[in-house]
Amino acid sequence: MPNDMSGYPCIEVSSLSKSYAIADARELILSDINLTVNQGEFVSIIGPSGCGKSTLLNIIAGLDQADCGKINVRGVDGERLGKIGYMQQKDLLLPWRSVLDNAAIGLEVQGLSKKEAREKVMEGIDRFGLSGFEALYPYALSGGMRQRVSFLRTMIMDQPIVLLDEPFGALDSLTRVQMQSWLLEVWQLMEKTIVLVTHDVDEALFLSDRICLLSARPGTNSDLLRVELPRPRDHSVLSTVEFSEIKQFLLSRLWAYME
Amino acid sequence: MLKITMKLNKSIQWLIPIGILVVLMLLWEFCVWVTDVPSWQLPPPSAIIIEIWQSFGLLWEHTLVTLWEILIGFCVSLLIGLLLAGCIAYSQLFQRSIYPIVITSQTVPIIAIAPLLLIWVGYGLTPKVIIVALICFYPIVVNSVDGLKAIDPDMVNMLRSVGASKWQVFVKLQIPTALPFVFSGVKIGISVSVIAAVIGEWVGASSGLGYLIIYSQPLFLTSRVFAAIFFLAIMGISLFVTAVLVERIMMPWYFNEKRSSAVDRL
Repeated sequence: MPNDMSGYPCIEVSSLSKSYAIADARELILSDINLTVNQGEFVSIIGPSGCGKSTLLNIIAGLDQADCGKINVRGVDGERLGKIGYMQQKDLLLPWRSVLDNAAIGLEVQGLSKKEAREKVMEGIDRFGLSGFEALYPYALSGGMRQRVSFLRTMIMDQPIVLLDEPFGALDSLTRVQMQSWLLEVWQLMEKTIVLVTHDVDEALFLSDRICLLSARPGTNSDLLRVELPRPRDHSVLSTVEFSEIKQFLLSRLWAYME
Repeated sequence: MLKITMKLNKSIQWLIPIGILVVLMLLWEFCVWVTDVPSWQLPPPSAIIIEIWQSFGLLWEHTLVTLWEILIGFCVSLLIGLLLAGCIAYSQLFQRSIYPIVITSQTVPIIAIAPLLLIWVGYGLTPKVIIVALICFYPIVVNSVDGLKAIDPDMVNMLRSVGASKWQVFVKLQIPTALPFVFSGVKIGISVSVIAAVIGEWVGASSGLGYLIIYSQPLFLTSRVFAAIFFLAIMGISLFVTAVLVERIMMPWYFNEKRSSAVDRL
């Protein structure tokens, strides 16, 4: 386990396994996962499709239970629902709520009054590029804007840990690049610990401190790759020699897993 | 320019059915005049209009009786219907035991039950309310059960991940999701409620528009029968329009969304 990161362990996953009943058989989805994410770190999980990336995030978020293994979040193995920010691939905006009220729903659930929740969202709405849009309903928004609202809803909860499940998967490539830079800004500004699931190698390299590689089903992780690229990064880093080298290495590992 | 033509189109949309109706009325008037059918057999529209004018007070009095029966019956069915739908959607036991009975209840013709109600609860308001409620509650229950089950599991997970309780999921997700379904049921229910009230009055009553029809028919007051039918039709349309208005007020997002997706398709 590499421990050259500053900060103490924030998420510790140890020997975690998970299987689902598919038809009559039980199929192993995740097998013996070990992962430590440190405070303030940006870690990506990458792997071939069907390797259980999203299942792993669901389990860390507390939505799903592991068959065996342990998950400690900041030293505690307990209820995690409502204590970790989780943004799924779909934007999951409620069509009957405006941008403002969609972003406020998490705060409402946590017990803030509608008014307090709205006020808090208004404080953050500018940073997410949504000012002027707060009264609109989801159907009137573009995909990128909807994703921003989903982001704001997750981030406004002020959870120190945020899980992102392919948040930019549904966006066109230009918007995706734009959102990635912006995510880096937000991450640096808000000092979050972020775990990102993605299948986009460039995205993982551009954003992460470390990349966790999962093998094809059943997913298991044997590799943790450190991304030695200087921060703060912008997209010019994508065309450097260092980037190409590290990408080449990552791709070769991924291909090895997919065989 | 586009806006103006669209507005014009909209007023034409309203004018066309009204125009057709007027033409049909004139045709009716003309046929009666040409064939010389006696007024007790088929009164011309003019005679019906005169009848409405002359006995407006009487018609209005009976309209209020029928409207009252419908409103109470409908509210009862809405209350019971939503409660039942909630139970069926939440409990496997209810789903298996009550739902089949609810469905079977609709295969029994309500008209056949009406005379029994007369024996049990008499001639007053109660049997009509029961008949209206019996007929209205079915579409409300069936649609609401579908609506309560139509939630997106990913949405549920999103709410759970921010720490929502089951109750919060119900209030913030399940009810708004079910609302369009409930309104479908309400619109069907309110449309048939007028028929239900008339059936109730036919079986035994001393007031109401249905009673007025049954009472006027053997006296060959045919234009009065038509006047009562006219009032029933207006009542039915008004009730339906009211339901649509309430729907629009309660779910503006639903109609805006539909409109915008319709524009997208263009």
